[in-house]
Amino acid sequence: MKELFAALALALQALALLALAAAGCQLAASAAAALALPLGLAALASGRDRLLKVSANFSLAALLALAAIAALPARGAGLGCQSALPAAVLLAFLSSLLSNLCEAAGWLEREALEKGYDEGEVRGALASAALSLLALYAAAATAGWAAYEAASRHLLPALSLPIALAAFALVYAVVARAVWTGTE
Amino acid sequence: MKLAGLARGFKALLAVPVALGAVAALSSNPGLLMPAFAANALLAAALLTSGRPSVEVELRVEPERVKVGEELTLRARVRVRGGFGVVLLRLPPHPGTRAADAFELVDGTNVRALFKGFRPALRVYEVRLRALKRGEHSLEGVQVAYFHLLGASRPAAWSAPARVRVLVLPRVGFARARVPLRQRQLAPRAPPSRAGPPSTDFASVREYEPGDPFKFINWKATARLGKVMVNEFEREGSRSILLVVDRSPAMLAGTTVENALEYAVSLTATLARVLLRGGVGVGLYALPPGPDISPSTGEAQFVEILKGLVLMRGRATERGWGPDPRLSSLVAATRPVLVIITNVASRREAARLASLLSGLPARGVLVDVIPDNLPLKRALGPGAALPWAAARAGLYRALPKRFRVVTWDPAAEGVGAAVVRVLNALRWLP
Repeated sequence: MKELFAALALALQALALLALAAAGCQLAASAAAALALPLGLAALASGRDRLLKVSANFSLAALLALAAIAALPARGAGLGCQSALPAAVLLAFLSSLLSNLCEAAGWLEREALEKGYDEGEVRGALASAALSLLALYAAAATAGWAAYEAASRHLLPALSLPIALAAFALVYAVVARAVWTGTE
Repeated sequence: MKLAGLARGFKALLAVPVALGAVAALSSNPGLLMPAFAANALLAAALLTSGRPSVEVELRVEPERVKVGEELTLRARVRVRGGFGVVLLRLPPHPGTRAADAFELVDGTNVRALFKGFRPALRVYEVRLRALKRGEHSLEGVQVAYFHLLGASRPAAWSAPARVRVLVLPRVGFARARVPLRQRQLAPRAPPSRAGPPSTDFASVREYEPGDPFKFINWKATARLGKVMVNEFEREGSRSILLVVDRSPAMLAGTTVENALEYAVSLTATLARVLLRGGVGVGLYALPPGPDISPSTGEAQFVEILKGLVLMRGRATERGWGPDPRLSSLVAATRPVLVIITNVASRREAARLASLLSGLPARGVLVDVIPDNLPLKRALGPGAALPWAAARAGLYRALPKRFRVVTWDPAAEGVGAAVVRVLNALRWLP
């Protein structure tokens, strides 16, 4: 089960970078793939969950960096893959979540081996976890799409985007402070 | 280190929407707001479930009182609230605890895995256990391990409070035997009654012993002999027997479940039942001192003795083993026939027993429980030759002649047969 999640996470990473390359950013996609995909393959081969997580998060970080570069006025105009970035980021984000599930599966398998859990029950729990995660992701993506549509049609023309995002960032700062101190 | 920290699930989850939002604000690509909103929704879900789940466990056993070898059902009702992830549960008995030695799993598994989604999870688990060791055992604590699926908190492990008690009674065997209360014609005369209140029938004059009532002091004999003498009267009622169980380290030879003490307890319980049903007063005493029950009769006395046996534990050290004033006064007060159940494992043990018994004004039977063959119990057939019998015969010579020795190998002979032999030995006491 862990291998299945790892393979899915790796495939999603590849798909995200492929989408980027198809939209015209071949160089950036190749550079990210040259680093992230070997890491992911090595993780898949050796069963090291943490390495897979590093690989997935690296892809996500590379896409964010690319988006940031695209945001620069001087260079941004030159990048032709801006239209593919949202979809690529969404795929990379799902890959990151799946790598988390893969880590959970690895932890569960280690515990099961040590303490003698019933394999069928462990598989059932992992399958439920995977389904819940995918459902949660689908709901989040749908909510994100709906929020974006609503904002772009009604909210954004009335309010300037920087003001909306400043309010967004303020909320995150408060949340981050609470979370960083209270989740351990 | 900071990058490594960011790589951890929840922090990455937190960073993604912020970064996306900033990029979307700076760039001319508001489409990036869509993944930002999606990540935001996931972050909200993670935040709502980031706390450690509360795990409430209710344990029940059926039945709460079993005998050694019988089975019971442990039922755990588990309710998990909060959190979002995989929960692992381990029900008692836990390895390394006393309960783990006392029970074995017969059916089902006591380690369970479940996925806790957004709704509270309620599960009922059942396992069948077999009681291996007598005693009052506590099945307590449910070990919980938790992994948050979105990485919002580190994997955690703790123990959820839950407790249930099980009383495991010793195995009481069956013995078809006549209690040596009334004698057949050819058998020697039964020992006189030693229990019950003194009658008015004069028996003898003897030296005073602690515990003797002052009203029985024979002043004339005291003045004549220069030491305190008392009149002794025949006792009313039936004879009394004091079952003395040795719980010294020699009795713990073997495993925690199969050792001389466990078989001694089973023999004692069976003897007590047979004797009490025959109307004999029975008491219980442990060496080194432990349970101390004066001889009496009736079903209530059997329950008392059973309780004493349930709580009796072996002593890992030899401290407290030796002349016992409490036993001496109990013997002086009730004049019982002694049945001492022990393991005469060495010359040293024999010498110690001889020293103890020679100071007691009583007769009785000494049951030597030989645990050597218990590990090979299945391999040896019943009635196998006992190579140690000759070696131990030498040890028995050190014991006072007032005590008959009955050798019992629990690997080769059942409790019932041993009880019959003990009762026969009691019948032929001098």
